[in-house]
Amino acid sequence: MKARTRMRPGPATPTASLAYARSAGRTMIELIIAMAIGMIILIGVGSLYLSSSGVSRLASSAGTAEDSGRLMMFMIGDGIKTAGYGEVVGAGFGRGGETYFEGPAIRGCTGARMVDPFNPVAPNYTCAGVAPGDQIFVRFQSRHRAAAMSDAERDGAQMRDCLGSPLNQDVVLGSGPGMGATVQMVQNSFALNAAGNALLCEGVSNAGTPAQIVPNVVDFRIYYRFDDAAWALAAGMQTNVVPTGGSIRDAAWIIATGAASPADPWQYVFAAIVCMTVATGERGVATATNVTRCPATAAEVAAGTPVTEASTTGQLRRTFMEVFTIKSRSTHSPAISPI
Amino acid sequence: MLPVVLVILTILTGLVVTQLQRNTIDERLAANARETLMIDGALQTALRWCEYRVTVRPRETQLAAGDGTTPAWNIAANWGDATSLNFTGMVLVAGAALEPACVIEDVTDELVPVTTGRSGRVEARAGIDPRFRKYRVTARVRVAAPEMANGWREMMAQSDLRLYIDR
Repeated sequence: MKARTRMRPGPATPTASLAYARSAGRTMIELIIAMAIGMIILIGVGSLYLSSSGVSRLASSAGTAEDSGRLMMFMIGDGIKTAGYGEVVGAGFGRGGETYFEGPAIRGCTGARMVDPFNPVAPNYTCAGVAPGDQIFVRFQSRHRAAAMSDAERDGAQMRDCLGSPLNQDVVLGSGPGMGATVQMVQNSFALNAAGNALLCEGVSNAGTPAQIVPNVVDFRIYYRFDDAAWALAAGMQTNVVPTGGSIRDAAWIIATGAASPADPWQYVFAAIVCMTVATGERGVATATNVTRCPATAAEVAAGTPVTEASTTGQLRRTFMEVFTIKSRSTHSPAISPI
Repeated sequence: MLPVVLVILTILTGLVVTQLQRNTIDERLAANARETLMIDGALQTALRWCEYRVTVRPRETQLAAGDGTTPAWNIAANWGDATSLNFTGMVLVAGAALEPACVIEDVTDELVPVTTGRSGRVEARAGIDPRFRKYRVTARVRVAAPEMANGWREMMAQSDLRLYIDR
């Protein structure tokens, strides 16, 4: 009986037989092997995902920095190209001032900030204090006044500030063919924040409280093409009909130069060189220890060679530098001051 | 075992879908920024061409006019061949839906008479030398954009020119 029992160990009832068959198909060894294989597959897939995700995050971060930089250069450059724009309304032979534009077209600070450029009564463009990077300030007419059209059409065609706000500065022209007329001016200012890690934009709508428009901007420098030949002639009230490339200067030099002259040296600036360095939000992703930066001096810009600096944050960086001509200011030559 | 596997698969699927969505949005943002820059480049080129055209042949340039309420560039009919300057066959940007074109207006009436005595010969319009002409040039570039309701996306740029035509 015992031997027969060993040979046929199954119970007599059908239910008990089925339960036995199940337990016989899944032993502990099989379960452990299955779990081990499953874990290996999961670890493989997981690590593949993490690795792919890391690469994707890095690429996305670099792409975001690239896009931000390009878009900001486009926006700032557009403002510089439009600086000084006003509808042409004068019928005189004046060399300038024949438009609805009045006041400064462009101003800047090197390593400092303007005191109160948005003051509607007495704007103060004096540079004061110490701040990271440079500041640039541009103005231009924003809303058609001379063109024959309805107010709704004027609203639709109105140029807006860097925040997209239609709120502009109302200026009552004090001279020229539009004397007494009220025109709307866009005023835009771009500069780094106090920590030097984000680009701020300020317009009439947020005067006094600049708004962050791009994070991770770690350097922002502005240099200017200055027409030295025209400036030299300005002392004798002469004009230089053909503008020249001149020298590359920073705002501090232009301000210091103008301090000793009754003429406005900013009228002899005919292009702005904008440089901006954008870093990735991700840290520890770059293996290179040297990263790009903006030229720190006008001499470095003139040299034209790429400049780098050591970095320990591991952030990837992209540096953008572009020259924008101030082409909307209405004069015979960009270098000639209106009289 | 099966519920555990299903949960893990669900989590993995969710992660993958989220990643795909993020990548798609990033891709669209980048494409939009790139297209904006390309259209702007084409637009500035078209505007320069039109400025050149009106500068060298001001009297032979096709002109359009507004109706006092709507400016010329905002009247669709003005963009037809008879009243606009079309660069037929010219492709300045990939995916262009129409040739680049300009609407040019003679807006000399916007000039304000001189009161300071600085003007030269004063005739015709009171205080305005007739040799001064003012033109407003509006350029347009339109590209196909199937995702937009109207099927295209366009940008316009404008400039004022005051010419002294001594002939």
